Amino acid sequence: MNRNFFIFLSYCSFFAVLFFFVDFIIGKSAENCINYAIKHNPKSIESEIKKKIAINSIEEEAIIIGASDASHSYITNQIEDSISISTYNLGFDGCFFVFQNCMINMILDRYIPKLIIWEMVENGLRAGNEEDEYKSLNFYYQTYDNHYCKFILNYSDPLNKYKLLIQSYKYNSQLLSYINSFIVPEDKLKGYVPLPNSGYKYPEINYHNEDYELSEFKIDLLKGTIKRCNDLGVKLIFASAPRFIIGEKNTKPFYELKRIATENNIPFIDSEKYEIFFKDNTLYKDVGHVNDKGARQYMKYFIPELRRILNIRQ
Amino acid sequence: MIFNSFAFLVFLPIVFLSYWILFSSNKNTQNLFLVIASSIFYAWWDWRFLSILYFVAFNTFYFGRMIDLNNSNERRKNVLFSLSIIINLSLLAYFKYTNFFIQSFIDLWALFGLNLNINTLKIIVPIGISYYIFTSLSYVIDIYRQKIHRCDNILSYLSYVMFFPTLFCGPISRSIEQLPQYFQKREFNRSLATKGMQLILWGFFMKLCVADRLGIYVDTIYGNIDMHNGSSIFVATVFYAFQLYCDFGGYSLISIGIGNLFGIKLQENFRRPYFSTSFSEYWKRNHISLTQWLMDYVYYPLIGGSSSLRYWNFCMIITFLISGLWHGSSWTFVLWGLYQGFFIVLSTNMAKRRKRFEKKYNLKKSKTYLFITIIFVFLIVSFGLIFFRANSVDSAFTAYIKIFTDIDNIFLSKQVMVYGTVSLFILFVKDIFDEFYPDKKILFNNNNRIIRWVSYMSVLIYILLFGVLNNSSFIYFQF
Repeated sequence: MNRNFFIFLSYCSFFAVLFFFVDFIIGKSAENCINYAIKHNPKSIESEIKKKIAINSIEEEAIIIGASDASHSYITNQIEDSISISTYNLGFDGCFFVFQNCMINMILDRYIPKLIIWEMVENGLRAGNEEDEYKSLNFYYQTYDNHYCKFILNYSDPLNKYKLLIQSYKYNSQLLSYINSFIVPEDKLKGYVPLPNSGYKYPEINYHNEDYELSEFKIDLLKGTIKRCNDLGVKLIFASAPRFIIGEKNTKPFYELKRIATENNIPFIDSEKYEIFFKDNTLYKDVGHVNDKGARQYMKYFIPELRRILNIRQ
Repeated sequence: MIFNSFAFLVFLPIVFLSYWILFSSNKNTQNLFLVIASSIFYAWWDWRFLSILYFVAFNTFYFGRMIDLNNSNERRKNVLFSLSIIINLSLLAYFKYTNFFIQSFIDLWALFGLNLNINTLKIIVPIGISYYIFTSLSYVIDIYRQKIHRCDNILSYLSYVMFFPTLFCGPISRSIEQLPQYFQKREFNRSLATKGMQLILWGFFMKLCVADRLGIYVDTIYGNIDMHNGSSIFVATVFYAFQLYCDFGGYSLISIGIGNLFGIKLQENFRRPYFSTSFSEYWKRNHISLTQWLMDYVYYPLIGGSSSLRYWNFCMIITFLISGLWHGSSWTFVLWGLYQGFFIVLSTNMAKRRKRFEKKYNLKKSKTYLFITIIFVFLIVSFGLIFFRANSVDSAFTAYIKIFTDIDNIFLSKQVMVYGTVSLFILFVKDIFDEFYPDKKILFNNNNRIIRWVSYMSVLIYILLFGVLNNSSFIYFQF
């Protein structure tokens, strides 16, 4: 072998060893940085920190799970006052069905809430949007050791078991959130993120006429989670917040969702029956999200129904 | 297989070690191994299209041979040359432009109220076809012009056409400069390999930390131009200029770096184009391999012996129109090509006046003037890129109109703004040193090994912590 080649290889190997050492230190430092950030602001509104808090320290009796629809549509304080149990809204932008499933299971590993309100996106069970679904899973890189996370992450990308040997990779694109946590205020709205009522053009109604195939993987995940909730005695309620879209629920995934809910005696609060949400565009920030005014309007319908389901009298 | 994929992370070390340990005995084993590795690399995307790659490589090899053997018979030589050009360009036209021409034909008749019912074809464009056909044609043309002699060793020629780092996205190889490297056995050169590793590392930084990060913002805005105001579109346009440079520039650096690891020196493709002080200079620094190819094989043959400035200008616009079409089969690229052609003609025609102006006011050494010209050229380039990025001609014009009429608060994306601009700043500082202080040995090329290694490690960790690690493709793959 050429001597120069051998020297080059030796340097590369030495660099690799050095890299793993530095990477280990980076991993440990990032972990400490997160813990420090959480300690500093234990109710941070910063999304990544809020996710950490959700799986590590939230102890509310009722939790609301979902994507952005959940965080912008459910006014936690109103719900809490009306059902008289502590509540927290764990809706996260861009974190869809697979993420939510994992979040519920991780929370159930730690404690057993009394009630889970699960905001279901109409086409949560559809196949073909895996790329969007898996994007948000990088949050779980840090909790890869959890059996449920490991299962989901390895399913989403079989190479994760190798990639996650690198500590820095686990904290990819997250440092800003931790630093931000020192700046942002405490979350006084318990996870509810109101969208402004003005300052933008109100949306025009959308029509949806596309159908999707079902994802067997997601259906299995859903059934598994329902079973786990039943076994642990957690009351599960499905809900669907208003959207300014007609025909979105006329799809196979939504029918399947309803069928599974009925089969398992899970109440389903569907906003579609409230006509006002298809008439008044001032209730929306965009077609997929209600603004604060819309959320307050939605609560007028949602809370009585919730109380009825939970047998809470006036 | 793309450079930023896990598969390539495994592929490269295996090929590198095998090449130098098992196949380095002579040039033929080295070339054979490169051809095999390149075939695997290409087949990883779609093995069926390997046949087209081999077809192009073999036909140009034999045409080159026949043209060289018939050097004394001018007529036969011309026929063979024309045949080779027609076959290969037809192949390119079929895969890249069939649907464009069918659709344009339908649209043309629709203008006169006639609705033709012709279906476009479902054609998959073989990845890298524009690059390897241009690389192969460079060989045929150079033989025809008697600038080089035929290559008798098929393995050397196949390695030249198929060398895997250049296969998908160039740099487009030129036979005069590149081919001779495959005629001799490559010896391992440590400093070249180290330089290669540095280029690979920096290429990944450009791609993952700058291009892909800014791309998130650009995609959000350009994905829905109607929803966003002119200020946001302007920011997205500026970001896109950097995204494009860092995406393709990053790819080219990785490509050159990998070439260096195998003892092959590939052509420089980008030389900090956004430090250009004139539009013509911009095209001497940007996508150098394509610009030189088009100048040598399209523009100069077109102008022939003409001394008419008007005709030169016309040829320049035609050349850039071809450049636009080379980039993509849509009217947005045609308009982009025309835009480039117009400004390069303007720039070359104004050059003398500009020199006089600079001399009169002694502006050559003025840093303010330098800064203003750089910004001016950058803005012209960026504005042209709206055609390049927009999904349709309509949305391109919507973007132009909105930029000047719809000024409002800029759409902010926290992660992109912070990670993207910090990465952009790092790139900017490095490029400033490379451009204006090339003799200063700051980080990667510092004489102190510790500083060098700390800088390698820092960039690597930075990429892992702040890069966009989702295996996104390179923009220029589509061309």
